[in-house]
Amino acid sequence: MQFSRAVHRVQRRLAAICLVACSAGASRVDAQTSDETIASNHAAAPTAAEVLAKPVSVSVDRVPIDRAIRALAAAAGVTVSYKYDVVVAAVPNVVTLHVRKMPLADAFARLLEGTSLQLVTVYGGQLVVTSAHTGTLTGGIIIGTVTSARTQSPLRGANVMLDDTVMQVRTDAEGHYRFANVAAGSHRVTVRAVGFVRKLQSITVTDDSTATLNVALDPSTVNTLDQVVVTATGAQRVRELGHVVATINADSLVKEAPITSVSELLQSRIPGLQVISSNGGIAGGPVALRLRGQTSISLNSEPVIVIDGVRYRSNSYVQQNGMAQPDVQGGGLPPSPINDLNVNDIESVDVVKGPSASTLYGPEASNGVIVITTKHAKSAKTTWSWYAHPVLNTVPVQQRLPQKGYQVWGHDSDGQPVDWCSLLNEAAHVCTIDSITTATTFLAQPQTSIIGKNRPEWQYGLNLSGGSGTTRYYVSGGYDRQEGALQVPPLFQKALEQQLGTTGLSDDIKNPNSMKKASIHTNVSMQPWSRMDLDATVDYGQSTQHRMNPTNFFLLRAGGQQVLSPYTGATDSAIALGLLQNLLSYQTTLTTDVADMSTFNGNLHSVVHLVDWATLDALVGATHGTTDNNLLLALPQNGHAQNDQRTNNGRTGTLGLTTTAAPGRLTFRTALGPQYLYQKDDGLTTQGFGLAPGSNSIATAGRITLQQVWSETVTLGTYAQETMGLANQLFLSAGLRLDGSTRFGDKYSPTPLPKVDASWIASEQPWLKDRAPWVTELRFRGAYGQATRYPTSGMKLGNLTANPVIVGGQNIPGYFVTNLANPVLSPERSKEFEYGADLTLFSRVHTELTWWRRRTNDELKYLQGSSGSLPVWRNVASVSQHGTELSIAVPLTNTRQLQSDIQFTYAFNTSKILSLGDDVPAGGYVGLAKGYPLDAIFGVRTIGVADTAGGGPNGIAEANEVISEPATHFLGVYNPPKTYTLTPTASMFGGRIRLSAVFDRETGFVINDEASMRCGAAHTCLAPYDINTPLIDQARASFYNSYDFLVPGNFTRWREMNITFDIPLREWLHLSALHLDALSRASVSLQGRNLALWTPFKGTDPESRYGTSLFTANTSGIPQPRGWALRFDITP
Amino acid sequence: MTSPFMSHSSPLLARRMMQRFALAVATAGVCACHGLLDVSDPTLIRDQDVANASGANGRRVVAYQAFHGSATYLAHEVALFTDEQSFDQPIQYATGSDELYLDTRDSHGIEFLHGGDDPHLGRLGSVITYSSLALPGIRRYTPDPLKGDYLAQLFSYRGYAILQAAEDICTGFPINDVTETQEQIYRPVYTTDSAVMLALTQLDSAIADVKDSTHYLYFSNVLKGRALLDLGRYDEAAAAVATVPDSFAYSTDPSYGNTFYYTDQGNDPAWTFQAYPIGDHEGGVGLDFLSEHDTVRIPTRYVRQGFNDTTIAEYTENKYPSDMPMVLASGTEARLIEAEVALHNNDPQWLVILNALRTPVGLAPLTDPGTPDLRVDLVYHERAFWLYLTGRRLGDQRRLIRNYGRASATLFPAGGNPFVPSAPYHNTTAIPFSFANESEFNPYVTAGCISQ
Repeated sequence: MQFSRAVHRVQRRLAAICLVACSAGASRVDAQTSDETIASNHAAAPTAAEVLAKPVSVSVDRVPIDRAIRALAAAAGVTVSYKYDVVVAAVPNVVTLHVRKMPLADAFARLLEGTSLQLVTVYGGQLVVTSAHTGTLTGGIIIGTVTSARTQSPLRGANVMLDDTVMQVRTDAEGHYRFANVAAGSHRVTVRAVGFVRKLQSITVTDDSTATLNVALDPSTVNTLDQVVVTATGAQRVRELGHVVATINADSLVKEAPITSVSELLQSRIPGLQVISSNGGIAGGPVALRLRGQTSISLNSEPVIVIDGVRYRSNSYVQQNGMAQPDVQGGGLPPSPINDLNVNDIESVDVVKGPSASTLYGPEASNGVIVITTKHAKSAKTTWSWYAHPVLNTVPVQQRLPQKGYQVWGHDSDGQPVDWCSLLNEAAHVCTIDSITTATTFLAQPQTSIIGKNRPEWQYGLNLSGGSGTTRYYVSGGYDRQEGALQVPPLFQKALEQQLGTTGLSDDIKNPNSMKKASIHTNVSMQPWSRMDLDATVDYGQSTQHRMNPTNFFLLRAGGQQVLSPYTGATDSAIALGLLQNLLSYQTTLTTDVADMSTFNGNLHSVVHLVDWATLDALVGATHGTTDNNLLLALPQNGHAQNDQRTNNGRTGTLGLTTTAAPGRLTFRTALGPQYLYQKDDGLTTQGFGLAPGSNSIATAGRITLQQVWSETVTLGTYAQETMGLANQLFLSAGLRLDGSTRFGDKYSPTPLPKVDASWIASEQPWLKDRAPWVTELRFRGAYGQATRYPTSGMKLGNLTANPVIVGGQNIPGYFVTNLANPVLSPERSKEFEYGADLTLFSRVHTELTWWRRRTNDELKYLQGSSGSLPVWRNVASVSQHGTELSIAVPLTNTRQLQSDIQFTYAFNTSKILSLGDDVPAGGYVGLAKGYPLDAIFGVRTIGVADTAGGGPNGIAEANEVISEPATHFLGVYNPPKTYTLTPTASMFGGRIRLSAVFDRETGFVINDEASMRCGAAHTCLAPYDINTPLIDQARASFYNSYDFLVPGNFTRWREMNITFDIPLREWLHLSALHLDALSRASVSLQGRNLALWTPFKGTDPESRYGTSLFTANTSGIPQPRGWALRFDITP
Repeated sequence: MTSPFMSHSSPLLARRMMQRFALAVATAGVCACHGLLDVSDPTLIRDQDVANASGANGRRVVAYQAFHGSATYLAHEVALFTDEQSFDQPIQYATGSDELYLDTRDSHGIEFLHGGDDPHLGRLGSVITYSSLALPGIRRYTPDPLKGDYLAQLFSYRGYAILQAAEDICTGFPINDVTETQEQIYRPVYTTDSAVMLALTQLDSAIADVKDSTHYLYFSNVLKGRALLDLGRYDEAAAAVATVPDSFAYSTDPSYGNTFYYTDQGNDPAWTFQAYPIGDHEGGVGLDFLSEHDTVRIPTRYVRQGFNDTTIAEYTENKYPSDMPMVLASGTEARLIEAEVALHNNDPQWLVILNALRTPVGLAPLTDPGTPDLRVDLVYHERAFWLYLTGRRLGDQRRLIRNYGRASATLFPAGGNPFVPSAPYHNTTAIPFSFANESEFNPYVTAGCISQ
């Protein structure tokens, strides 16, 4: 009874404390199943009185004391913390307890009676069992606020741990935390949060006093062991994972880096993730993502994209007649779906690089997974923020292409002037060269350049968040308008006006490429009851893109010039302008290609904390997208119109159960659940040929064709994963995913995909702690997993399609077989090993090193067969890949006035074709060969000229005198196998000025120097005209063989630069006096993107590969634009 | 710490519920309801969906499209390869052009460019493949008399394709086919004669199957006569075409356009880089297609002075001034076959037959040149003019070598190329096929051209 009264006194006292704390916004203390396990539980906290009064029923016989403690806490539905060593030392023998509907306080009193242990409750109703000799009920209080060092915004859900032991709390919506009854003396407080570098600080507490410790966390793209990342089974600490999951903190980065799209957010952040932005200057241009390189011979290598748990469309491929085709209509290039998202609405991105980590994400995940988390409601306090982001982009093509061209004048045997006379013409006695004049090339002259300068992009956005009680909301809207780099040259605009008899051309004609995009993002978070979190998110975006196929400008990019004729004495622009006019009139100005697109993503996500050791996670989500693309080529005759209607629908349903248990020093985390994925793309392409002259209506077409696009896929999968931890230092995990993916006609046949991984924290072993205390963190990890890519329905079932056939002027349905059925076709199956180590020295220098090796069997290949034979898809090839990834983060200075660090990353990947199957003879297929990489280029180079054939030894390299290498051979790869990134950052004057930069380097690949290759045709070199030119140079310039101009594409690029200033509006404008607290925080950033390029490559831009395959490995792409931007952010 | 009583506590109940739930979700994927997984694809049509008369007709018209869609392309390639047409283009753009390789008969160039795709053999192969895919359905689902006529149509297409391949492509080429169950068939490679024999079997089938359609009967008859002529079976050739009336003509479907119209007339020549001048004594031995000034059979049109040699006036054909059909077989060809047979038999009717064709169109009658060789030359000159740009010329040139012992140097252009001086003529006398492509899967293709 004495003890019971004492407990009740404690109850009343703590209840009073908690009433104060809870009214300020209490946080619930996390479940404690071992001395340091953290769960992602954010429910509102009950008061101490409520906790202690809960009736409990427990029946345990002869169990260790810790288990009895946990049983009591579990029965009450509350959490309890204790130091395992302390309680076991106090009660070494087993105990028995049987209580029924007894108040929790009384039940604990009965359990602990006669022991040296005592029960205390702390802030938020958390129970702590501690030794009566060391614990105190009359200590001090620690309070504080956790914020982002970069944005100064409060961090909700940050984990704050006292003395590395039992007392842990999570910060509330305002970033506040509080520890009560802290023993007097010095304590260590460790704070960690998702996406931030853990911080450890000391504080001294005295009895009956309150100490304040505010902590500002530095964002980090480098994982530390206790950082929490999103996995297929929910949030997990990095230390528990045997594989790498890299995180990008988008929220903070987007405000302070020159980022206008999701692809720019991803670029240069993660080793092993390549963003191929082939046409940098094109508004809404295509973007390809590669995780650990190209993975497949035939299927696209795009990673899966998951947004808030919902599978998103990852590429712009559509199924046409059962086959995946790039949805490139009418010469336009579709933007990447990932860039349909407003980058300002993204909170964070987790990157899962390969099968070793992506197994549980289900089908198609063998290329890795990009997991995007959008912004959610954080605070019940009403806040808003606004940003404006004006950008000026200029494609620096003029500096990288020859500015001087040559015109070679001659005469024929009759003395008549001849333009473009060459040595070859002389050899053929067609003409004789008289003189050579120089001129400025088209691209170098503003009047004739297809590249416009200072193309603007405007981004604005506003967001609002707030709420009341347990309901919070976040709403944002954004607008983006971008002008593409291409323009119809002003000189030609005048010519076209004359041709059309008009005095003004529309803006769409003059600037054929632009994009407008508006987006809305909303999120509502609720807690219908204390154990349930409910979250609803909706995204909607709409855009209009005036498309332009840059290849239409190809010849003009290569050269062209306006010259002065020595014969007429006047500007002889007839040929040059005529060429320009001809190319543009048909391809460009008379073509309009406009796409209206809309996207919708929505999901409803609930997390139910069934009991302290079990959480049920349910998610339903949908995506919907439409495209209406109208192309019109209104020629004087035989005009062409095309309309593409596309709709894509996706549905995701997941149900996940996660349970935890902690018997003794072991911890178990079990996750399992089913997942349902549905994806459908459908559409209709209508083409009209032979429009009535002058008509822009498809209805006037002489012939109309229709083609339907359709793809419907359902996947039902089940996953299960068990993670076992030992003493928080060794984690072993095993998982299995069973997937059945149905395409039309397939039977459901579950495919088992296993994974295992292990993580060992060596630095927490006593023997290492003692011997090498400077090793702050050392972890070894390894993982193995499998993942698949599925063939399309047409590949497997054969491709019999209905299309009208004209017979005697009548349309008759025809059935075409374009590839044979292969009923035994199976998915491509990838297996990946990944192993590595994480090392942190002196709590400062952090290093991650990862090796990986992957083998993909049953790679699909389209076997064309001989002439007239029907092709078929077969699982014939095997490919191995391996690579290395390294990241090093080094803090340089850490003073009050200057904090700086530098991060270096390196990634290497390569592939090797192990087999092409028996059906494919070795060497029989140019571009793919056993023993060589997937992206190998094979060819024959020019090695000499025998000036004896043709016109004889005349000093002129003629076609039949060219000597080539005797056989095709390997010339290099077209994807960069090595990438390096250097990211220095600095923060000055208490973080009020922040600087950062990103430098990229890519090496080890070859690319076609198209500008040099076509210098003869473009008249930008003298080789085809000057008899003194070495024969081999003449041959290369006259008979352009692309393999002769395949050169290393190594480059270093100054990718990003940013300077951000915090504007102390409150102080400057005396806002407090005016009660305009909302304008208390503002920043302005000066940003630069693609500021400099260092490369021995002489073409336009080695990074602007037009596409990602062998045949487009050249410089047809528009160079990356150099952009300058200002960004204004105002945040309350 | 005694036990007042024992009972199931709520955590234990919850744990049991969790275990049941776990079991349920673990088996959900495996025991999935098939209805949930049902999907559709209206664009995908299975073989069983077209196992009916409509489906059979749908496959037949695909063969029709393959045949009519490729015929003028084939003729265009033959015209470039022979002396019917030349090729001109600015030197910078001419290099590497497959049309230049065809014109100069550069077999390595043709093979190199066609490494992954063999247009000539490929087009002919598609006709064979698609007709094979159509035949079973027609036999099974189409009622007579339509069945017989459709079968005749498909067999005549096959006969045409195989015969054209035999006449154009070097010996040692493959003829691929598919079975009714869509399995690929590879057979030993063909010589000119063995391919012609195969064509004859197809044409005999067409003639045997035909019911009401004299159209396909005559078409097959002319093709059969042409094939027999290739084999030197002259009397049989004459007999095969004897019933074909003078007025008969089998033409390409105009809906499929005409390659000559597009390449020669379709674009404004002022801005067209390439041109296809009419061959006129091309390479010294070519026929006088331009200088004969036969505006009835070979109408012409002036284009420009040559790109690389402005002294050469370039004329293009005007036989196809619009998207008009190309005649593939006709009563005229039947009579030409009869004339050649008559000449072979020393029957003076050969000249009578030729003049009977000329007189109605206002051409002056021919006179006997007096010697056997000149008579043969005259017959083949007439064939070349009547059948200009119909894909016959290469077969004729090779038959002159094979049946009449003519030297190839007297038939195929040689020496320098006036239009592209840096690309002289080669000595190939048959269109090569792509060994790299054909040998990739066909085990019988172990070498390229065995002979010309």
